[in-house]
Amino acid sequence: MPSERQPSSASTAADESSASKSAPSSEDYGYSVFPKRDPGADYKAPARFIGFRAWRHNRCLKNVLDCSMTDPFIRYLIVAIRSRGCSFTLSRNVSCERCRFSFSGGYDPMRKQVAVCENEFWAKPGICSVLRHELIHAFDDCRAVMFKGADEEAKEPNESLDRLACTEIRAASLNHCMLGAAKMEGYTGMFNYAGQHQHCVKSKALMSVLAARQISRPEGEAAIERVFDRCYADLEPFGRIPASLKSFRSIAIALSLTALGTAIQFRRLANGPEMLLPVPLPVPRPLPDA
Amino acid sequence: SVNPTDYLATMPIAEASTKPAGEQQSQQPNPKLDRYSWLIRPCSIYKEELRVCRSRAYRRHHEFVYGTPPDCSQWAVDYDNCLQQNDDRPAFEALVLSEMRRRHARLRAMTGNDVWQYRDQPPAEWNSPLPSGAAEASTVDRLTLTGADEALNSSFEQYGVLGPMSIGARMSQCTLL
Repeated sequence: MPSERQPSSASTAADESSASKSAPSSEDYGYSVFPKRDPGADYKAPARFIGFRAWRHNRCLKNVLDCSMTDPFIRYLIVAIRSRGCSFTLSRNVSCERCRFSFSGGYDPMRKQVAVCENEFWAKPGICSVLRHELIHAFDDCRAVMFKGADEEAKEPNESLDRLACTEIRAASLNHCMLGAAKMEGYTGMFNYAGQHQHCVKSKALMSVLAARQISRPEGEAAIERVFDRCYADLEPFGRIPASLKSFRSIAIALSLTALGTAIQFRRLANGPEMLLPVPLPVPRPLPDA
Repeated sequence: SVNPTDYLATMPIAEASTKPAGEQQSQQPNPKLDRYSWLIRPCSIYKEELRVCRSRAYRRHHEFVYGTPPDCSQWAVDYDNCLQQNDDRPAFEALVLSEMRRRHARLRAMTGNDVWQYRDQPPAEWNSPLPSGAAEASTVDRLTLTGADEALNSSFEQYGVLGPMSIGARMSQCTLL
């Protein structure tokens, strides 16, 4: 799980519920990030001041409501999900909660909920970006079979990994890799940006896939390469890759231009497209048995 | 699985013309295209699309994504045909065929995605109640108390998809034919 400052979003897919103990596997599908959904493990960061967590929770809820009232992408996605026949309401389908690592959010297909992490972001641009990303997962879950159950997932791991990679590719291409954002985060240069959208989409999708499943990086890259052509062309529900006319407003997950932020984007360019992350990911600690 | 032809509400392009496939322009008016006149959008939409396509920001975005500058000739042709659709039958037919081509391309991209199987019905467990756990039950959620659902639904009814916008934002959306 990445502990760097730039968070990614984890797309969760299955649950190791204590009721059904199938063949034991180390794959937890990213549920260890969300302690509310995996009550066996709990983690608490030290509080900043008394009442901070309550204030942060309320600010996250307020910003979820603000984003769904104001952001046209979020409203379009909500309308698309509803027109597919799946009811989408903020009280049932969106949840603000504290997460364990530096993630920004996830989608829970077991409970059909978008989980917004209030650890890293509670200001409006971050919350809007997280909501847009996870609403794409919710839209794909509504219109297609994304998760078949833990037993079937164990039987066909490649198919489930392909579906996850497809969703992440679509979420990256439709929401995140706009020209201004890609420039700020170091995926493209200022002048040689022709055709760099695919590089940005593959990088972001790879980061999300590696965060959601415990697989190695070549496996993730292979999965993304398998499904890239079909999934990159599928632009539902927008029908086109949205462009950001105001490039600075679209940078929702961009870091502030601190020294670390500048170093990350220049180091990405200096090392070439192979170097996606500045530091290797730490291995997550195993959870204690519930 | 879902039959793709259910999604394609239009006929294939070859069937739409009475002549062989090589000859797209038919001399006589094609009566099959009359029932697809709903595909034609208001002419200000084509004008706005042409304006956006020719803008510098969209040109940079298109080069960023596809590597080549955008080709805006189709929007120009569509706008011209839209203005003449009531007087000129070939213009009407060309516009309908162009819209069918756009719809066909978009739906083909969707149905060509065979990574997953599309559903006929929404998932049955979508509305199932949340499991009653101590975490969910103990926290009093302000989002439910303040009536966020009613606010969101009423905002969709009142403002539409784009949501409440300032007077300047609404004026910038206005396009004159």
